[in-house]
Amino acid sequence: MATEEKRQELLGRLKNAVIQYDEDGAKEAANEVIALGMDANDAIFNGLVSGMEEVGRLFEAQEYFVPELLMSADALYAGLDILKPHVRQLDLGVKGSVVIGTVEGDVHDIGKNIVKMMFDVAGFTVYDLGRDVPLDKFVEEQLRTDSDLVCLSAMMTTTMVGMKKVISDLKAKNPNVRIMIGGAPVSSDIADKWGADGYAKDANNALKDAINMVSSLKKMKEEAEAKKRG
Amino acid sequence: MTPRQTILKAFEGGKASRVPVTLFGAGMWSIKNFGSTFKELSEDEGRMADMLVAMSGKLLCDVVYAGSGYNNFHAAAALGGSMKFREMGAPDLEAHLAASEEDLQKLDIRSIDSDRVIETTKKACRAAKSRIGDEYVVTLTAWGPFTLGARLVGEETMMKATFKKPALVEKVVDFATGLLMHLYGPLVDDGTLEVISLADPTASGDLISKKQFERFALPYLKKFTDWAKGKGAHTLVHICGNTTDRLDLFPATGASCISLDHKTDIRKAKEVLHGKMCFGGNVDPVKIMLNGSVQDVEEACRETIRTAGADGGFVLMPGCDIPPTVPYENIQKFIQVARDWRY
Repeated sequence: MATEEKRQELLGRLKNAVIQYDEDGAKEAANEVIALGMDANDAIFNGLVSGMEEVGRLFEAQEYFVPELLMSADALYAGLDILKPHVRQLDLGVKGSVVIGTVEGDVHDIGKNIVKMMFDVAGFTVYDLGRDVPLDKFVEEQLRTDSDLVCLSAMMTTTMVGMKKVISDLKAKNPNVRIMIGGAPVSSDIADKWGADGYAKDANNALKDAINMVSSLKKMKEEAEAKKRG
Repeated sequence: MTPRQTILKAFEGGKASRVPVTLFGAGMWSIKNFGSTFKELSEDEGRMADMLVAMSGKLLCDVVYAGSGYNNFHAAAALGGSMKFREMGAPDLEAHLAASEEDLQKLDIRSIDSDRVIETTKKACRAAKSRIGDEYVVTLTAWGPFTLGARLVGEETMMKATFKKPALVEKVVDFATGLLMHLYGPLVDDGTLEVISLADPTASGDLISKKQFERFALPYLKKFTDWAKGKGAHTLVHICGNTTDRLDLFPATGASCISLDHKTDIRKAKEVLHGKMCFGGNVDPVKIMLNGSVQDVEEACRETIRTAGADGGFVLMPGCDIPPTVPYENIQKFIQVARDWRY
């Protein structure tokens, strides 16, 4: 068993490896965590994720930009790949499944990938459709996987209008699905106007919102079932 | 004064009788409203020219952009790959990306000479110039050097390479700059183009830092605009994202006019840029142009001109290209506010 001191040291190293986008550092610290039999869940959330939260803060403060964010994500994944097989139960309180993709006409998937990473970390089942995804594909995949959440991304003013159609098609097929949209030209105004349930300002915010949406959805389902039984 | 003279006057820092005004690119809007498709026009330079002429009369922008939406062909031709047409969005690359310096060395800028679609856009540009070039500025649009470079190696690779392989980034952006010169050279030399229009969305203020912009985007924009200037051509450069923190760098791009995203603080832009270079902007393309009422458009345009453009050296533009579903009435109002504005 690792001492509290050693635990703190390793958590600090994992956190800093993410902040300083040091893939090797993240791997080394993660391997030590496993070798010492430390709790992998603890290492992920209080080490790697804590580092990503700081990266999110630096991004918001415009100290970090997308290149830094991408490299931090690589460092996080480097640690996560080692730790994940040792996790007995990943638990942020809520788990769900999500369909995610960048809409047709748009090949810009950097933002989508970062949001996807946050879902991976939180233990969501992620169905990633990639980029330039035909609009009908979102609807098909949601029905096929019975996912709680669909996340749509667009980076161009010329492609974002495709989201509007996906939202109405999804809601028509399955009124209970929750839809989140994000991307440079998107705003909370647009999300409201087009009937999306959430707007992802950034990756941290996307995950928080997603957890809220999925919990409210689960609650709704439970209530409906209780009613049926009652 | 013609629309052409009006906007050229602003590029030179002066004031014509009214505020210059133009959309940026607008290829997707124009092709949709002309009742055609990217694919159809790519095979027919006559019809592409007809579209440009018809839309110039409908939109009444000071600038007419040939090739808008066809920018990715330049990268595809260089990579030797094919292009994908589709219902939504501009045609895009199916080519394999250049991943290393070795791959890059195999690329040849002359490969754009044999691309049929690029040839079609150039011919349509020449035809439009001869039909409406006295009245309007007719330009051909392409990606800026940093964005074109990122298309060649992949955006995510490019972003990381700014830290991991800076020398590769410099090489690929330099290659892209050479490609642009090769593309535009003949059109400038034969007098077709007096303005070159470049969009540099990957050099966005939301994607890369000021320092990265200064190292990887700026020197190549400067190299290109110097080259253009040497041939007597103006340059209109659009950069996406919030660039408020780096406005002070823009005069060093050497562009005749810099077009700013709606996220950029236009008041600050006036403070920093007025008297140094012409700038354009920055009515919100989605909130106002797409979703606003005609009255919202009018108010936003007036406010933008009052804040940034009342002293000249300014072009009223949306903060980016517009969605293809923007109501025509909103565009009409957008143009009308500037056309009616007397200094």
